[in-house]
Amino acid sequence: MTHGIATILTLLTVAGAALGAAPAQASDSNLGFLLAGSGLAWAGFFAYAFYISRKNRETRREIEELRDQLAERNGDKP
Amino acid sequence: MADRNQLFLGISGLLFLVNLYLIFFYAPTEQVMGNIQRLFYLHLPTVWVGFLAFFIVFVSSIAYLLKRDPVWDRRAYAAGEAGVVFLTVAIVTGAVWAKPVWGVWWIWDPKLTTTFILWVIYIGYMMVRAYAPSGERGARWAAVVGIVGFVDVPIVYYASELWRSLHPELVTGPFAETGGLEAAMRTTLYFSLFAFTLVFVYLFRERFAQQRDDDTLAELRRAAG
Repeated sequence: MTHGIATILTLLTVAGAALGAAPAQASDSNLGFLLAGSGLAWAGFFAYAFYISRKNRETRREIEELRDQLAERNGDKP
Repeated sequence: MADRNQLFLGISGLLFLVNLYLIFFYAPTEQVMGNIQRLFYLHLPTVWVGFLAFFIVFVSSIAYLLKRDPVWDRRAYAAGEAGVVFLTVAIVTGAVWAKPVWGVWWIWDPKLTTTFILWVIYIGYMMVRAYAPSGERGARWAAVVGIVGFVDVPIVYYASELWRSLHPELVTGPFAETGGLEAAMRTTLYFSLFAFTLVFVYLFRERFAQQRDDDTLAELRRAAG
């Protein structure tokens, strides 16, 4: 879910910059900078959110595996 | 906690859709700089949230040194890491904005220089933790860096007032000149500040929960031998 929302927001930011800013000033040569700046900002947040959520998933999976192992060893599980 | 965080993420996502509309459709085009000025609504909130994050590091570090409760250390670490991400985005968007307006990506202006120092301090904060001989010592040393490093935050904030600077003067905070922004621009800025703050809360909570899980994992590994 995190990845999906972050991807949608990144795409919408770039699309919004292109659609919203372009008609306002068609000859604005700085539009590329605006697109680059907003795209980079979202890419940064996306990368960080992705990093955290992947790490969270891995850690939780490892916790479950270890709990199962310990339960088996202690005879709690058949 | 995971479910509540998903809710946070959903709300942040919705607010950001509104925020995008405000930034690119509602806010008027600035007359001198043109469309590039719209980066302001990403640049300033990320700096603000970075300051908020470092304030949390500051308070949590003091609390950790006084109580030695690892929960405070986790709070400081989660806020510090998110703060570095926000400040990095602020520096990058600032550089992209500076190029068409000032003609250069970077200058050693007081505001930019003090911001860069702040960034280096908190990179150092992360490194102290990573390379400390033990977790407890790393937490203690990092707490000291987190407290001392916060001194730079007010210096960054007042840099354009204290020294001659190319950077625009304050637009938010106690010493800001009111009336500097048009109403629609101000609305967009405040909404953006709110939306970015929620994103920070989400990232902070996720990172905090992850650190708690890391500790649980370490305990289980010890138990498993």
